[in-house]
Amino acid sequence: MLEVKSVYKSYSKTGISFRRGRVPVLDDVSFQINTGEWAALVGESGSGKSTLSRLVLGLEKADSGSLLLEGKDAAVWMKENRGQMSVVFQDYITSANPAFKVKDIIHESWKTAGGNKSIHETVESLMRKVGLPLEIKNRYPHELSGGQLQRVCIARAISTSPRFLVLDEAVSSLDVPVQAQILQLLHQLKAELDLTCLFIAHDLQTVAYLCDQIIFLNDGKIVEQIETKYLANAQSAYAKRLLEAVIRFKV
Amino acid sequence: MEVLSKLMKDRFAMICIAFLVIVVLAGIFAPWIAPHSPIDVNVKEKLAGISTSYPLGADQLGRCIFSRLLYGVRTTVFIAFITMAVTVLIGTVLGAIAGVFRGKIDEIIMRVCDIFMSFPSEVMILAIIGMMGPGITNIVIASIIAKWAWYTRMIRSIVLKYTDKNYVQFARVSGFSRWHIFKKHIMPNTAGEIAVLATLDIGSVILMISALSFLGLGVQAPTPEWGMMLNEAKNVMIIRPELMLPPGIAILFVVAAFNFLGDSLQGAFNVKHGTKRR
Repeated sequence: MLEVKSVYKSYSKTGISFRRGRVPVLDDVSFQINTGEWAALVGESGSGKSTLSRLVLGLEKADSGSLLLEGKDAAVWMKENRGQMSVVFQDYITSANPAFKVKDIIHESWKTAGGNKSIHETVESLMRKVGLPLEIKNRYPHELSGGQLQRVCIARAISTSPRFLVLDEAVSSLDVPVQAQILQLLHQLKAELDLTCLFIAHDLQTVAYLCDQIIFLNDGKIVEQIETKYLANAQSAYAKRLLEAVIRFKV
Repeated sequence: MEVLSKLMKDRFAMICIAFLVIVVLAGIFAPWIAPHSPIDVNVKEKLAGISTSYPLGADQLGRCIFSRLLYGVRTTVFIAFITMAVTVLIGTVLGAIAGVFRGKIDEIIMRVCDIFMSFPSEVMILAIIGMMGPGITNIVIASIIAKWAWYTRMIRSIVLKYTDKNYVQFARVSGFSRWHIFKKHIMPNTAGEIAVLATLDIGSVILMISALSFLGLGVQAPTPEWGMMLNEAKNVMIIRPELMLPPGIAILFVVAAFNFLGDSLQGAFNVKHGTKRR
């Protein structure tokens, strides 16, 4: 489904100087996600994972290399398949227009997908699907809790029945118990919907539960791509280090 | 609509609006309300005190101060409105273009703004009026030239603030057109901030027009204008200091009403004010 081929990306340093340097962010990144697969992109802060997600989403352009979706250039694919790509961001507070009610947030993107079902019914079924109480339909985003708002964002993301979903640290800024609930929801959605997903995260625990394969990104380079079930056999030093860093709870 | 209903609940804002509406109506219907012509000289009534036919007395040329005040709304307040409307229009169009399209066009607009903003606005206004000569149209043009760059900057930065929000990014990912995003997400959010900006600033425009007229650079005699009425009252300050009060208080109240209204608007446009957090 998604094929990233030797992508480079760098940003120019800010400030006035005559020798303007560029900071490389992504360095020869290549990987592939098959249709229906959930892949996790794991890396520390500053490893370039957010940049990579912005490139995949078409919000920024790569310096060189190519991003292919179903064999087509990502920009072309997105034009031909409006609403087929969707995203859930880390920062749920700015993810929803503060002047929109919950129901308007959820049904906003239907126009592009050409949905013609009754808005009312579909909003309610989506809200039920993500486990939101129906009475918050007419509330504003600031009147919701973080977990509820992130559920609204997930409902919005799946409202166009997308084929490709990017979860950009979708659970990272939530409390741990709420994280667990959202992960459960995502797990359930994975079983119900026909989705290919790129899950960006910085800790292994969250993604090991959900994803079929894990891609390790360190300093803008892919250090290892491994299927989750073989995670224990990870070869690269970085992956091993991350595995050791996982806090084990004894119950 | 919610903004309106919130504003309705704000009693102080409603008082300001009511006052400003009365002032504007008084200006529009001045020919019917005013007891005298604002420019007719009547030497017999020179410096007349308050009476039924001269509600606020007469000035040193025997002109009815009340009538001049009413006609003054037409010059002072209406010129401020026109100046503000044109400035905001230019600022919004250029600021939105710069903020939405970015890149080269943004660079060009911003550098031109930099040039205009590198002169103090008072100096620029005086220079323009010096070149074009005093007069109503010229102060309007001069204040627009002095102010548009600042507005373009402000509105561009407001637009940029909203284009960085995740909901705009989401809309881009789900394939909405630039126009749709601008219309649905950016415009409604920026409109509030622009309205606040304009309301807060219209007071300073009124003050500027009055100040220029006071200096004799703006409206020319005998057209009634509040700043110029102050200037004329200054001539008889020693014998009749109270003549400065009507135009001075009129300026004070109108400017204050606009400023308070701007503050209230700011609160009304903020969705988070006035609703309970759960």
